[in-house]
Amino acid sequence: MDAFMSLAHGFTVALTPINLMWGLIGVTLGTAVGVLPGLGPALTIALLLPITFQVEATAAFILFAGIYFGAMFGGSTTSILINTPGESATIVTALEGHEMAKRGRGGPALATAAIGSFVAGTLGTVGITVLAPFIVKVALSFGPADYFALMLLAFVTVSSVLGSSTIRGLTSLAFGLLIGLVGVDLQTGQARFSFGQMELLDGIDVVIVCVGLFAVGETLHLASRYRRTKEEIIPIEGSLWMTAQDWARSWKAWLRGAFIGFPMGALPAGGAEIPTFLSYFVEKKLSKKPEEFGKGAIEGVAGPEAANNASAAGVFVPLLTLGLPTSATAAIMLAAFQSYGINPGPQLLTTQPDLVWGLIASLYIGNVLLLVLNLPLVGLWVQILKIPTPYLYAGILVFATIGTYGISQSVFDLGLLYGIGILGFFMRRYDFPTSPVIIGMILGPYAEQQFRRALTISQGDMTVFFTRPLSLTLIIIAALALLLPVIVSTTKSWLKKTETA
Amino acid sequence: MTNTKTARLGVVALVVAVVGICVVYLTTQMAVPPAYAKVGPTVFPYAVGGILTVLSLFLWRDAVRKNWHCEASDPDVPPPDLAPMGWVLGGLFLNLILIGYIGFILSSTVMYTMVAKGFGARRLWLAALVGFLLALVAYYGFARLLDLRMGSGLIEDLI
Repeated sequence: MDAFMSLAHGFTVALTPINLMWGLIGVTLGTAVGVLPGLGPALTIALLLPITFQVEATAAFILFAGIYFGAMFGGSTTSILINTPGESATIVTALEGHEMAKRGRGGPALATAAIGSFVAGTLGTVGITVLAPFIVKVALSFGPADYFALMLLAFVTVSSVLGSSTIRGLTSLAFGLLIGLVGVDLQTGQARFSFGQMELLDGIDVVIVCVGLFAVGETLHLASRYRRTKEEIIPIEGSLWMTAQDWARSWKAWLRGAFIGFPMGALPAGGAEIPTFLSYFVEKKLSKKPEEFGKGAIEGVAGPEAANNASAAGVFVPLLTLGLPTSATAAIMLAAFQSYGINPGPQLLTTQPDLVWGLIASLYIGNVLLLVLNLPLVGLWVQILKIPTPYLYAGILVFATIGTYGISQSVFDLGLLYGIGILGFFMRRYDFPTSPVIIGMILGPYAEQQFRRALTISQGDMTVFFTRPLSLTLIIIAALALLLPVIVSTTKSWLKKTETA
Repeated sequence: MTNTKTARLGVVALVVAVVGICVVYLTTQMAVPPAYAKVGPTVFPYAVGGILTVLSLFLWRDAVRKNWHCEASDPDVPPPDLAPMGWVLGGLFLNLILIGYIGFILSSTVMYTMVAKGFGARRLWLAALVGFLLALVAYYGFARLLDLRMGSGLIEDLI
């Protein structure tokens, strides 16, 4: 098959010593930030964006993808051992995994998480290999109107999925779109929302927003409550080896998790949370011992961890084929493409085959490296959990300062960073999801570009979005995704009223 | 949920409304060349401003109906612990003021120490030392590896 030929070529790119080194740095760094509470892949990649001025694109993306996958592996260690999920996607792992650790079965919990992540990550990468060329063929026929409709759909799903309330998700997204509007409009040269500030004419750097929300905001939030919560690391007891019974109970859960996670990551449906929850419920339903759930059932770790990693792989499909990010981390990677002047989209596979296939091949290699890093060396990662909180968070703020001040040496930017951090704190307090802000600010300008291009082609005729079948379908799905929960809840309350009347 | 908590949620909705209205107002003030009047640079700003204004109404509804569950409205979550936050915010503020005068390394050491104090570090001299070393290493690492220019300062000029 054609795809596998290209993949073989990708391996020759990814296996060069220099790219292998970037991959190794990526997965190691990724595991470390995944293990450390308060740091995530989006933040780490944002801080490392300046590297795009130094190394060639393939190496940078191999590094970033390693960080992304590594953080998924590392996050599970933290959830299992201290029950503070570093990321929302590992909440479910904490449910059963922490119970297992408390019962002295931390070793097998870590093992099933790591092996499950490996299996699902590899299956997910096979999924990318097969699916990406196919989607590219379809996407080549997309017009600007279709792209705009697709982005509209992504906006809606991302804001309704990433968080508990669609209204608050959309508010976050709108703030992100607003931030994306700041600066000179590229088509007309019109300055927008820059208030006469030179620093704002170029727009607000995504690094400032991402680091502000994820590093400064998180630190303030933790400062506001750390004295009232107690965390304790459970030492790993017993052997890391899984018993025959553990294997028997895990392998099906891994496969099911992978098949739930990958499609949900590949669809512009945003986030790895939903597939992990879904996998958890599927495992609970299918288990022969449902009474064990809540008390440390191994399937409850195996399934969601697999789903989590498979969906992380799935996210690469829309990113590489359509230029559509469906998570905050993917949005930052899109910003990295911009920094190289590369326009991700269906042409990417033909114009940058080394980059795309090298990246995909590096995902296979990264999975193997991660299995080695996370299973035999897990004790090492537990050590970095022992960094005292004051030193860790103070350090995070120093890195946040470097990441922004180092780019521009502008005190204005630093002030903006801290200001956005304070905004991030309030967003946490009032339960506004932060990822839609990042996705909105990165994807917003693209959406506007496609919108105006579509209208230029149609000579200002707005009906262009509704006369193209694909665009119309996507807009209808977006509208349904937005309105369906409202309709369901209104009908429910209406039914209740008629019943009681 | 007490009334003060509902009121706070109402204030958040109000802030969103004010931002939305300001965005629409600022957009009306843009001088757009007539050639672009139709699909010009104001279409998206109007849309975003309008959406924010509409969303603020829904937020208001959620606040009034007590259908907005978050830390700030949850009676089981204690109010924010102001002392640690004060130290962290103070550290950020001092960094902002000092960085232009004494340079990144010293200014970040001050911030590091204050943030560590906020998170309950007891031996402040040790925190200051760790902060200084971290800033020094980070300055060099980032400056060399990523070619970031961290500017000059008291320590930076010595080395």
